[in-house]
Amino acid sequence: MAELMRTALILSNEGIATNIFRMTLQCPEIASQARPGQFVTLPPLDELTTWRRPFTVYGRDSERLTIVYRVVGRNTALYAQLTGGREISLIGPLGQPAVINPAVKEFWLVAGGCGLAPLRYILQRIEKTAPEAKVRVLAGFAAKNEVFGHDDIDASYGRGTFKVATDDGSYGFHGTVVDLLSQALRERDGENGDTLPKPEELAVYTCGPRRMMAAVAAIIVGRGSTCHALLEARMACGGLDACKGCVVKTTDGLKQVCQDGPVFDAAKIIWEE
Amino acid sequence: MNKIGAVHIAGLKLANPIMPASGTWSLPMMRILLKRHPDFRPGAIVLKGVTLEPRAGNEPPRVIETPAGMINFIGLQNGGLKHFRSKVLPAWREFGVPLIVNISGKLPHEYGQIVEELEDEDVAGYEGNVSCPNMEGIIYGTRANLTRGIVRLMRQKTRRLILVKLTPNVTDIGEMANVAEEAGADAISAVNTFLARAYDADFDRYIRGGQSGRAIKAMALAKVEEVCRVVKIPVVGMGGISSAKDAREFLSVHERVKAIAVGTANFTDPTIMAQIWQGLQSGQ
Repeated sequence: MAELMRTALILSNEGIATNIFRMTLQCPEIASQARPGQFVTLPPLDELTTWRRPFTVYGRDSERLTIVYRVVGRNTALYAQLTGGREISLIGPLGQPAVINPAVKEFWLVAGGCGLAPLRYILQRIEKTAPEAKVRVLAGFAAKNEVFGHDDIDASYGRGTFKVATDDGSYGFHGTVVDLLSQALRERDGENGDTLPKPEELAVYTCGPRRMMAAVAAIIVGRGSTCHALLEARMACGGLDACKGCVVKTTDGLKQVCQDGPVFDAAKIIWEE
Repeated sequence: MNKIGAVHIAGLKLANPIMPASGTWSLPMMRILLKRHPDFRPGAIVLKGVTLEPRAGNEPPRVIETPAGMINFIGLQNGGLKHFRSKVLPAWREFGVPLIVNISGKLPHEYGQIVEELEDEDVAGYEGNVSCPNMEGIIYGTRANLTRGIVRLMRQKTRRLILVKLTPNVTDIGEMANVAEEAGADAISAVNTFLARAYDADFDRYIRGGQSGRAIKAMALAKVEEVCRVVKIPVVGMGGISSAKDAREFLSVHERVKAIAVGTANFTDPTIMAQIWQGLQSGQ
């Protein structure tokens, strides 16, 4: 095991959409080891809290690691106030990396809100692992002011088609990302006699709110394709396999998100809570 | 206060008085600790609770954060005694730290049975957990006769160190400590989590389980004091310790508090035990 806990230097921490921030940390030991789908943890800054906060990796190079997070509570609000030059404890990379099957002809990445963060790094890895594959990114947001990812995804990944849905129709497709996915599947079927990839030629990675992922899984697993879901769970011990708190129900029994995930075969997740 | 060197708990010598509380420590945490503080080892390691048969544990949600702490409803997930012997114990031996096995029985006789089977293993002692709030049925540690019976069953099977971990969720913890001492316990671990309940908005249901973290420190200190008034055996104090100052408060309750255990604070920072040790030594 590599050195899991380091002191990282915050290089930048900027707002990229309403309540969405992108933090880049200088930490070669962790950055160089991080794989798509894995996560890191930051310490709680709010006095009344106890748990480290997990964040999937948005991108990295040999020196630096980037996370994207939404301000949802007191700790994320405090993270958002951190400025470049400050040091913070970082633990990671944790969890199992996403497996990318190079035989797949077409990858669709379906995100809800901040769920786009880990998919962006998976996208970068697909480019290297399966350079011939077609890629689509579908991302849903509540409204235009929450949309992010265009600059990073379009700039680094020309082949990908990045399509956005907003719940209120203020940007892109009017509806949910699940609606967008259904429409994209229908359109694709009619494109110049082009047909959808055979079930085994399509793989989907999805990350976002649980209900959204459940709906995506139902569509994709229903057509016989592979669907990988990146799950979120409360982690008392910060993903270090101590508390056994982050379990999810699967057809193979209870699984720990921090050790067995966070990437799971969506067909095996028992989505009803 | 002269408690910053090696300490003895009954016959067991610990290099320092700091250990992780059961269920709050892991191999990845141990490796982080050693990497960051190569000169420090916990005085002992209390391993996560083992039961005779494997236990899948409770369905989610299992944990929720509360002000200055958390509630857990894990349900003693573990691979059972066979898995513990073949996989868990060997992995922990490499660190050269005394290992204390935390034991829970579904039925009272299982405590004795587990101890008996572990007598072949290289472990320093046992912590009888009569206080997990998340097992089915009653908490053994709330009934004096059951606590007595369980400790006797363990005592019959071993001459090694027996700690008995008590629940604070009783009218008189001193009585339970007294019963454990009379039945042959070598030391008392005090205390386990406080019963607590919180609404979980994400799952739209209530979690009922054990409260830990800084929120319980002051209450735990009072329970430790009540134990120390009654027993003559050593006490391992625990409950919300997250700093050297906290550790000193527990060690100062009574001379019988020979050591302390750090629990939930390990989750926030897996190097916290080394920092507490440094703080105790430097008097900070």
